Amino acid sequence: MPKNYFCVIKIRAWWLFYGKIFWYSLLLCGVAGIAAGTLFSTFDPDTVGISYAFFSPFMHLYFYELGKPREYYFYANLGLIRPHLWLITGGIALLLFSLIAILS
Amino acid sequence: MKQLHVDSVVKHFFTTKVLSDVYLSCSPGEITGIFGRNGSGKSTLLKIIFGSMPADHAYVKIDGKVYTRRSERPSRIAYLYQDSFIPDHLEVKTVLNLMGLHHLKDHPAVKSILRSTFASISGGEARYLEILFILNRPAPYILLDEPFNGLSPILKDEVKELIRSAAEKGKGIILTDHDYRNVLDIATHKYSMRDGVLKPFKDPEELRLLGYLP
Repeated sequence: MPKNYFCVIKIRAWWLFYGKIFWYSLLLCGVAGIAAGTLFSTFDPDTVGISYAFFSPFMHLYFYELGKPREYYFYANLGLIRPHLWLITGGIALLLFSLIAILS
Repeated sequence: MKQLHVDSVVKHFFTTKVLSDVYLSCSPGEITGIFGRNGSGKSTLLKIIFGSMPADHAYVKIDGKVYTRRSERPSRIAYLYQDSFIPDHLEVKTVLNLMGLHHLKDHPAVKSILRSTFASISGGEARYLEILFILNRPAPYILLDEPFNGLSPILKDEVKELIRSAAEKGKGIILTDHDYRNVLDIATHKYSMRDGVLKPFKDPEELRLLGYLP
């Protein structure tokens, strides 16, 4: 099978893994954004972005390290081992945090 | 030379030595059975070979190439974890597509539950599918950790046939399970593990002398 095929499979597998983290982190960001808006009477998009950078590693920890660590073996069979998955989650959070710091 | 060659595997958990200079090899077509009591280090060894667990030291050579980076090994080795490990919310069809096993869509065990999620099928069925999928992965070497766990006697016989058939097609298989009779039945090479040391044996009576059987 072509190399590109494995690359597409890895991206699909990663999204299956990360999708849950993404949607729940986004939900928590929405709650954090609404709470901040209610308390300070202003809506700051930076708060939502920073919240995401903060919540996503916690969601990773909650769903996979504490919840179902056995699922790591499924993703490992598809070529995504645990340290790599953590690197991607941490990398996205760090990238988002850095972008907000640069832009604001 | 086509062979999975594992050498000098050493692993400590804090101050406890779990694996002590373990050597193991498996050639295409071989079924290697590992026997040992709970906590003897069998699963740890399989995880280290697969690359999902770091070792203090491990030399892994697959078909003549040394794999120092753990992340490279899953392309050459497939691993069946000892419990159900496929995410419950996934449909059987999705897993088939992800694992590149489109040819299994017409398999009798798969066809009728193609659109079912793993949460909606029985534990035995899910386990059988996991074994079927792992054995059909394109990897030339397969590690099976407790494949008979949670299966009915009839399914155990089917799994034994699946394992034999995969070996006949040229896959090298390493398995461990406490259902020792079934493992003895299919293994072409047998090893016992005790106190982190792996030793080959031929006569099953040796398992009694090693304290594995009563």
